[in-house]
Amino acid sequence: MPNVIIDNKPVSVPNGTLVVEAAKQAGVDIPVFCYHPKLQPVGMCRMCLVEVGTPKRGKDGQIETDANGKPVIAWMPKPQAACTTVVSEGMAVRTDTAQVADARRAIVEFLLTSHPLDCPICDKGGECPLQNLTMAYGPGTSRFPVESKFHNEKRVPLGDLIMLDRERCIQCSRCVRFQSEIADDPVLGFQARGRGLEITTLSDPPFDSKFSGNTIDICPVGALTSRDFRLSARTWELRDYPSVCAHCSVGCNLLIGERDHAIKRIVPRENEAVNEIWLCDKGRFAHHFATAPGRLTQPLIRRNGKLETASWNEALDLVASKFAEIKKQNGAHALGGFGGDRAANEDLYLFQKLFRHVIESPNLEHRVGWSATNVGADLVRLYGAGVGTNLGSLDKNVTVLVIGADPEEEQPVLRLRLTRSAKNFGAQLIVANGRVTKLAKHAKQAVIYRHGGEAAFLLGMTRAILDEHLENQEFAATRITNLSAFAKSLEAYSVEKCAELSGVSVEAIRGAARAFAQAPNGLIVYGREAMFAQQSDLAVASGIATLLLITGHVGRANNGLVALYPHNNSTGALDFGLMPDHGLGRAQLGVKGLAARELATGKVRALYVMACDPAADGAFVKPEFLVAQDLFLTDTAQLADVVLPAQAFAEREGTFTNTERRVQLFRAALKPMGETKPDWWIIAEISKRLGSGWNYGSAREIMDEIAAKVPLYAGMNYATLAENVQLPRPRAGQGNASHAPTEIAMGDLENISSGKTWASVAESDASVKFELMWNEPKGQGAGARGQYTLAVARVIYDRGTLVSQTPIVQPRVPALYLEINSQDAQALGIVRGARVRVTFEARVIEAPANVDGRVPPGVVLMPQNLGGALALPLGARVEIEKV
Amino acid sequence: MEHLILRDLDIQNIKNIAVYEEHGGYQAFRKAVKEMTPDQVTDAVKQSGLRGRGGAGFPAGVKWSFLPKGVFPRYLVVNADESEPGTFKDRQMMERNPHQLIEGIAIASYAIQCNQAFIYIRGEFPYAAECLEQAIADAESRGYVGKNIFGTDYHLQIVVHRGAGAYICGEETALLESIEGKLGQPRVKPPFPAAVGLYNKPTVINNVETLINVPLIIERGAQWYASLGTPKSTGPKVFCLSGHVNRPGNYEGEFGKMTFRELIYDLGGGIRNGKKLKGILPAGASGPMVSPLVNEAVLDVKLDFESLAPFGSLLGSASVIVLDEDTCVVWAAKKMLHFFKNESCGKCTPCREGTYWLWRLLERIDAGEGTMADIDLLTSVATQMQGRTLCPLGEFATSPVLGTVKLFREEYERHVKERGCWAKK
Amino acid sequence: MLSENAKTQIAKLMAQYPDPRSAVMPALHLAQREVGWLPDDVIQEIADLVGLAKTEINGVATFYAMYAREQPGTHTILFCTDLPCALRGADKLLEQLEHRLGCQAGHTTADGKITLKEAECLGGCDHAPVLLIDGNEHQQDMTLEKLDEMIERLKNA
Repeated sequence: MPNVIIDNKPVSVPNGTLVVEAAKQAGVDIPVFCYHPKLQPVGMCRMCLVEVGTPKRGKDGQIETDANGKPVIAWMPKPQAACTTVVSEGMAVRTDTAQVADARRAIVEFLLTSHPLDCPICDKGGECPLQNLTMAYGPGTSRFPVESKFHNEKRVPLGDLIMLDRERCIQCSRCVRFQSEIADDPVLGFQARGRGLEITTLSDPPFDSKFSGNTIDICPVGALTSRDFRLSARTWELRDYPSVCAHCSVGCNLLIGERDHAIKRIVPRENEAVNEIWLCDKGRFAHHFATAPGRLTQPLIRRNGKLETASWNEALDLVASKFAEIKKQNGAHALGGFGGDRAANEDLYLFQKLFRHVIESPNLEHRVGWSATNVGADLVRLYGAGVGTNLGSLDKNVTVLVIGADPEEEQPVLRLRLTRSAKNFGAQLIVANGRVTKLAKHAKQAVIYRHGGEAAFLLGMTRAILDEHLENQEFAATRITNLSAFAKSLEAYSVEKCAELSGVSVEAIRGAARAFAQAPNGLIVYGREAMFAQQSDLAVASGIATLLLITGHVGRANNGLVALYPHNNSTGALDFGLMPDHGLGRAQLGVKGLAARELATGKVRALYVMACDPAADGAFVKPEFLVAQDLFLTDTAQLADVVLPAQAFAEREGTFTNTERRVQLFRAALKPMGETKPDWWIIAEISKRLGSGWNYGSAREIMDEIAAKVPLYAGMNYATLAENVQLPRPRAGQGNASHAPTEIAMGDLENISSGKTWASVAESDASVKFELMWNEPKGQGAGARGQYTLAVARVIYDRGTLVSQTPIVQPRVPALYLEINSQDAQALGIVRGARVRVTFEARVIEAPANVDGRVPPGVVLMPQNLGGALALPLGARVEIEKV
Repeated sequence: MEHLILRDLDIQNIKNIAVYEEHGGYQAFRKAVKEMTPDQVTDAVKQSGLRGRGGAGFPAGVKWSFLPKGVFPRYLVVNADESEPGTFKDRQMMERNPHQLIEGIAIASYAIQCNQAFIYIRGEFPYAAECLEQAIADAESRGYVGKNIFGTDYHLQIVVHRGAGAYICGEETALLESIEGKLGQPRVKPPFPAAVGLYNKPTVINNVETLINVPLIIERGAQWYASLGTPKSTGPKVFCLSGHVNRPGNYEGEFGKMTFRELIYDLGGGIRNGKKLKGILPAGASGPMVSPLVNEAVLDVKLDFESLAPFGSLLGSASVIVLDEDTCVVWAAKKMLHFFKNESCGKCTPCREGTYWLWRLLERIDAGEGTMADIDLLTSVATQMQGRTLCPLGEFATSPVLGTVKLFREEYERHVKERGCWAKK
Repeated sequence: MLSENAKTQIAKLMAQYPDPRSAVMPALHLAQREVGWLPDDVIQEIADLVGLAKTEINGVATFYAMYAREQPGTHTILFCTDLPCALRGADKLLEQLEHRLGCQAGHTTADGKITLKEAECLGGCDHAPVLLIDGNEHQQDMTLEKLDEMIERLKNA
């Protein structure tokens, strides 16, 4: 820990600390433009020049001291860049001298020579580091002859989302570095040189990245602006409300910038444990659903075949009376409910309470479409990654097995963070999938298995660990009941056999096994493709559990399982038992209700659908009485007898539980639209009419009840979840201007609640013992006659209800396509864009071909959430032909 | 006098490997590999006092000894990006005496124990690059380059890497970036290339003229070499002479022996058309101008790395550009700033903006549109670039302005008063 | 589009360096010799071959002055106008060359035969004024007569 003196303030910082960071700790602000704490320092802008000296040593090598016994400092003749100078013992730094002030004044003057004077119409105005640092350090006037200004293009669209103003750009390269270092999409670059140096993109489509919006935040000038927010408000007119993203289940923390009861923009809210300072473009831009003109604003009742507006009392009375009537006639089993995993915890809790305790029906589901089983609910409850796991800063002591996942598409910010762990901190990634995914680029080991071979691969790893005696014997002795019997039962499955079944080489299986078993910490991240495989092959789940247990990688931070779920509150839906066979806290139930497919196909007389759209996701048969509660007139709502208008996440408060089981609070930012109500209120009103006697006044009260009733959520309430939630962005025109460049982007880490994570069984109860078990892997997928194996995956930009309401991201939503290896394509005479026919049993789908090398020969891939491919199972054997 | 570097002037066809061998070629390399340890070679170069000829004059042997022990692979990079206006000496060496350079590279590679050396040659020297490639191929055919050199287990590969038109790549870290396939923008130092260089490995970067001296040191001994030149600047030195002289060209001399008077009047045949000498740019565009009109003593200074300091200038790479009495210094400064403005890589603010600003000001003044205040502004802008740029290019770019304003301020004022250039009228 | 031969050459170049990215500059030289300049599809091809993003290749191809991202004439003349050449009459000679060609520096003759560009120092100051034809042929001690000969030769080549 070198001791450094900065402007006479002593500070002790870790080895390798940059002067600019050491100064922050000493309470000294050093102005910067190109430096950013998340990016590699480059020393380009020269704004951070300071005087640096080191203790002077005499001929004898001893440090010379002055009359007061203090070390004599040998000052370097030139000022040094604080962003690239690393501290050393005894270093002295001066930032308050005339030389430093002169350097700062000079740099600001240089930067402004050709900077346009369009602050009054610049989106960055009011929160612009260049503006702020000019006020703090710049000269009052410019000596640059105005006719000599270097002119450049002012409105250069970098794709659909970002606008570049080349005249405002100060060539700091933050955006370029973000794209290559953090986003891993090097699609922004400099071209030309000297004064002509400019930012450009040559990707197709332009600025092809799911993270492009972050460059707006970190741009220290108004060069990169949002084409969505552009010129629509001044930043100081916005009120920022802390919220949580309503799309995927990373649960990125964000701020809703509101003006005139509308969302003007969404920016990230710093949370080092969840999203750091980043958002994906879907989270940032696809918020327009919240205020879309198509929103439902009044209850609707079907009269004479047509949906007509009604009062809340009419609608609620009708729902309650029909529910009561059907229950009376056919019993509670004639009613069922879909409580979608987009709804908040409070809504889902009440929804299940309504069904289980008021209606008394076990027919509860939260998933629709192909994923209609509750995959991994038990695995996560038992072995979920330990509390304190930070997927963005895993180090070399952590090995992460990523199986059947494509985090870039499923949970983009999580992919970005896993990449960071691998690149910056040395985490060891083993990325296993049936195809190449983006994360694999930074994997220590990339494994391509044959689709359908997931379980055999996992079993092979287990077997290899046992063969080489790499199991965690201490853990096995105290927590596992049957290790030796288990090992014996596995004898028929040699690594060689598993290699054959999985299509992975023996060496690769053994290598992965060693890396995972010998690592001090081990995580398994599994995604939709593995979950899908698990539905047809029980051996996947037991394979995952076994690997975690025999290596002892459970019950501690940086150990255990992370399941990548599709929606913002999929975890909450599992936690509150929106499942036919699991109840509150994921407890296994004795009774089993009807599953999703049965609910959706008319096996009940009355169906209550909240926050999901089963009619859009495949075969749906309208039951006798259908209630739809949503933001929009969804496919389901169009069929419904009663439609209840709910509130969007931005209009109310509540909590979501993210994929890592982190419970996070979001606040209301907007005035509710029309007569819309929060979901929990609507459920409570129906319940009251059924005689429940419930009396909830707010979501907060429901959370208090959850905390009391659901042990996983014990101790959580809005006070503890909201602790320290503050606005990290300094209000425009406020705060220390010199602090702004980093603070605007970075926020103030200490003042943000990072949410509360519930602990898995392995972690919370050390007395629990586990029994190892395994299932025979099933091997090949369904329909063995086809020549090609079908991979089905999610893509981030989908045709779902929420994304479709934001026009600006529509160009990013692809039409359904079939990805095929170039070798296979050549054999079939298929070129890029050609239409191909996919045949599986009796089903036929046509789509244009996307020829590339990401899927291996013999495998074709179709996105699952672009419509069309929904009905086809992963691993299916299909026929492909050119149309 | 025997030429030690420009041996092509004494020995016909020395670019032919057989001719080079006849004149003792590759014997120094043989001696180094067969009779000396790598450290002994480095020590010999240290004792010789050989200083880098790229301009900074850093002792070559000391540079070699900076490589961290035990870290491999490591690389030798030869800076053949000779791009300073007025410099054309490396080109002559590469085109006409390439084997002496290859031998120097081989000895240096052996001394630092690297197995791959890269010659970064500017793209505008296609013929020189071909000469080098031919020389490498010839050397390889004789076993001087390749596997098991002289029957030892030492092996060496030399790769010629062509630039594509960027002065900045003469800056050693920009050069490394360029070899790595990136924009030629300088890196932050530290870390220095000796520790983190090409492909993040320990790297020595030497100029062509530096390395071509190395065989002499091994062949004739460090003491003999150190006896040439001055105690601080040893050995022979090639001076490039261009501009308003009768016989421009490369002239070999010794450090501390050559004077401008000898170079310009004796060797260069004096100023063209019998004109008077107005200014000398000793280091191309990168060093401040000196003028015998202001101080005639400059003509008789014994030239070495340090001796021009009292005149406010430096020798740099000894690319001597001569300006006669009819030359307008404002125009000359404008020309040089045009060069720096075009060659600034754009990475750091003061250089990117400052070179452009200075050039625009000089254009204004040269065109007769300047004011007296512009002259002060010129020096002010140049001064505020100094000490703040990422690499020396931005620093050098201030020399043409500060040097000429200091020597000939009245000429700038005349442009303002007469609303234009006297020389053009 | 690059020829198969060029692609093989580029693969060889990639193997020559410890990091294949180093092959970018030689590959661009090679492509420019073959195609005459560096259009977008060639940039894409090189990006695919070397395994980089197109934007990254474009950065290199635009940073260095000798690469042509815009289609030049059949021949390109780089004419040095730096100080040492200018001291020996380069500016005037360039004006005369422009006049002869009927196009300004930075442009291509109407017949598409010759692109004329101003260049920074070409390293031939002892024989100033100098110019470089098609990146590989130096012409030195230029005079008006020599320019005329050169134009004649290039136009008829």
